[in-house]
Amino acid sequence: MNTSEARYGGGVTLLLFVFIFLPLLAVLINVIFPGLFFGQIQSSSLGLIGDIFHRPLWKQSLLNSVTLALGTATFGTIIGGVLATIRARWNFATARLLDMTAWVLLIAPSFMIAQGWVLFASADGLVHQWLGLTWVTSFIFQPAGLVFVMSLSKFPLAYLAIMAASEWNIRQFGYAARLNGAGPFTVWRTVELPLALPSYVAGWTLVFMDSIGDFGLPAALATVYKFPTLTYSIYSAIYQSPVRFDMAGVLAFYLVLILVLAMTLLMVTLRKSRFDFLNARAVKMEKVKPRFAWMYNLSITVFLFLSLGIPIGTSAAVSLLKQAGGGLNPGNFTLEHYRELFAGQAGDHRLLGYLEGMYHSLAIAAAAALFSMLIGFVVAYMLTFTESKLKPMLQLFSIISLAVPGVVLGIGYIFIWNQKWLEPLGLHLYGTPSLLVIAGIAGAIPYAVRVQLGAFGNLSGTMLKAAAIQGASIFERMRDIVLPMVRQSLLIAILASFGTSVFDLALASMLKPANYSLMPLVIDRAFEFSRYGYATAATVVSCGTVVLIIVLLQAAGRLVFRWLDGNRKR
Amino acid sequence: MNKKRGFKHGIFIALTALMLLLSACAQSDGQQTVRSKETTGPITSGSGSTAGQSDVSLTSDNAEDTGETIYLYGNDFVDFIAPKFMEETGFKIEAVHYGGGEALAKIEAEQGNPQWDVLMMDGHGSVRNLADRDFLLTDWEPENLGNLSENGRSYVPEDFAYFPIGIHAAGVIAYNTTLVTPEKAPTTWEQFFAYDGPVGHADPAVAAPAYPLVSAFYEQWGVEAAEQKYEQRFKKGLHVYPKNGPVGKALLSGEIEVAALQEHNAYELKLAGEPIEVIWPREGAPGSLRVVAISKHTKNPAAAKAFVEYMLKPETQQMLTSQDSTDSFFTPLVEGVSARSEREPNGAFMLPSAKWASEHEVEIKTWFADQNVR
Repeated sequence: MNTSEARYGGGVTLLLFVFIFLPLLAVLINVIFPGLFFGQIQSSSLGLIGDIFHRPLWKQSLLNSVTLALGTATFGTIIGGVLATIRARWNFATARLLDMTAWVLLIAPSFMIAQGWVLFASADGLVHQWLGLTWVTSFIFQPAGLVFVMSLSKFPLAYLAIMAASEWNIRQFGYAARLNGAGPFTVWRTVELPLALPSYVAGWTLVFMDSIGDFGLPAALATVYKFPTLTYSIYSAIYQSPVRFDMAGVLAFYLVLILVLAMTLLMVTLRKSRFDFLNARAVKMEKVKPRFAWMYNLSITVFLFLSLGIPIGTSAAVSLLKQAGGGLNPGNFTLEHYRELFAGQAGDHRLLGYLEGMYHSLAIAAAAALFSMLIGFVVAYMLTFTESKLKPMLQLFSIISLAVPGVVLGIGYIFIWNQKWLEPLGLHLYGTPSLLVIAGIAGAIPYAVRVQLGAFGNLSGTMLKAAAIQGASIFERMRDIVLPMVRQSLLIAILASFGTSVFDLALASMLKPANYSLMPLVIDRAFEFSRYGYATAATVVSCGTVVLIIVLLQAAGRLVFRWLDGNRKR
Repeated sequence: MNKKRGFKHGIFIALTALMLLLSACAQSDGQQTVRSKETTGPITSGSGSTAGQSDVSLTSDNAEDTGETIYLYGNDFVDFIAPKFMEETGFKIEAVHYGGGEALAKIEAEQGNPQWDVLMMDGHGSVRNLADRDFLLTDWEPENLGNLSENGRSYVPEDFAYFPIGIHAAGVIAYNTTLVTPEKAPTTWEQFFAYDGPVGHADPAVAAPAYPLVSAFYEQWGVEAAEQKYEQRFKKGLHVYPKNGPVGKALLSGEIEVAALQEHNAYELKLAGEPIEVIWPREGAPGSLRVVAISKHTKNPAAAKAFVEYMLKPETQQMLTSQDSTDSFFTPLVEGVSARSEREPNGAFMLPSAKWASEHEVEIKTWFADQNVR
């Protein structure tokens, strides 16, 4: 291990510590010493920890969060499992469409999906006016209905996890069972399910963790239906009065506790259930054309319409209507809401200026994506090619923020960066856009690291050693050997982190600087002020813009890479 | 040995990178807002950061002008009034538009390092509470205090922690005429609480005028009796919405039949020709007193004081009451300013004393939030 590697390693470890681990630590310290971050040292005797069981609001939040997450995880895994099984076994026309939908839902911000559902199903929503189905409202706005809505948008996590495992053909075990007289269901129950179980548990846990940390759904519901969850109560403890920072920290602590439990479950299951069925006889699953292909196509189409069509279609429809309650007639169609977006002046409220908010959001997300990619690159390099002592720490830090919801990260950042003594150092970052960039980096790091680890895995270390012997510095080795090999996945990592951090409502809500508009907040606020046309038009334009940017950058990347290769060959 | 040095070096590099990143961001923040030609966002790190707090003891005749931009936190009028103030006095001001609960929360969050200079919001109880906890500049008497009407003077606290600007109804009784006949409509608050059907109002944790609304009932009937009344009201159907806008919407959609609605939302709907009728109860409407206060740690005392003086001028208040927007529905507290003609001219107000409202604030809001989830 030489000094320059140690330098890089120490640097990124420190950055990850400050960006990711420190805020989390602050949340935990706050439980033991509430007031520490406000300049008063008082030990709490942990009395606050118990408060959650006395105060109805917090008790209800905990209960709601757990119910919602358990329900969504279970229902979402069932949906994901069924779809993955069908997708792996059969060959039918809408399969590609299904994959695409899964990815779209994975990236789509939950508050937009939830807003679509609210506009669709609320008492004065489209379902009433267009279809006259009054039962939908009472069905959706109750815990079971929310589980249903949430499952429809979170199932891709389970679907992709299970898909990855169902690629392998393990028929021979099934045949053996059938020869011994087992029926098809018994085969599934006793052979296929146990083999697939780890992937199901992994899917379940992922959906659970994502749902319990979700801030978008309760935020979108807040105006129409009382459903306090832990994440929303953390936010309201900070942004409503009476203000309870100490309690926000405690609620965050509970949230982290639940997530740790979920992760432990995941680890244990993965360790316990190892079947080495992938032996020399393993073959990839052959996809067969099913007998009733049209049935599959029809049901998948209906399902996709339900999960993606309703929320997105509703938003698109509302953005084109003069009056959401005006019904479908030519006189009620308008592009006024779109015109308003670009008119620059948003009427009565300064923070509704869409263009400015979009510009800020894009700039912050771009900065966060770029920095997270750079840091992720060095981290992945350290983890793959060096024997640094810091490796376990890097591993831990880079995976932590995947499990920590934005709301928790946000409260931790407030604790850390709102200290008076930072002012003379010029590091009092609370209430500045810089903190949003840092938070964006923290959120994007796990993705950046994962994607690049995957790419680095195919590289052999011998080339690097050879280069080192020839006297190439660590920077040169990174630039001339690793970078050209992994540039494609690097680009994907950047685009993925960019796409997710643009829409991050939780961090934007928690860390919003004064008078600084951000696109997710503009949409959320417009929704809160019941300006549905404006909110939905902003949603449509934002999604379109981000998709366009990603597609263009990918195309540009391809061209640049080709040009670089052309230059090399000469 | 080498390793250690490498690690230190690493830290140095990381910190340098961090600083670069931050100053890069700080520079990107000098953007022009759409409305005013002012730079947005508080001054960040790196370039041109502010000096520390100057803890100069202030007296009324020694208000120094430090040239700093002052930050005004508030829930109504702020976007409109800031440019006008700047035009008139030349002091630099940046208005930050919050909801009431949000503004209080921000002030709380910044207590280690206040970013605000002037606060203008509804609810003298909450502001009194800030004063009792030493957030506000006290014992300075504005020259224009004499402009206040007799009514206005009665609201001025002894320690001059805040100054009343205007008062409006935090809640009048508004009902949907397509669902409720005039005979059935409640005309007193007792009847409102006993009304047989769904009713609603705004959330005291979020909307600035909602705590004055709820606290008026509590003071009127006593805490225990009020809690009982609310418990029964929740059982019969009480919808609580984050802000008054959604309350008005719910009233139109028929989700609730009667609302305790802030007066400008109620009159706005009525004037727009919606099927809404407004009743100003005989015993009075819960009053929401709008006050202006100065932070104890203001970075530019001269500008902050100038803002208070400006708000106490008859011309300023007349400008506010003659605005087109419905925010202009309030009773100005400066002598010789006329209120809007569409309002109830002699409406009485129920207003708990600031001390009472401040002492019970946390208790009432907490109880209410907990009831609301059941």
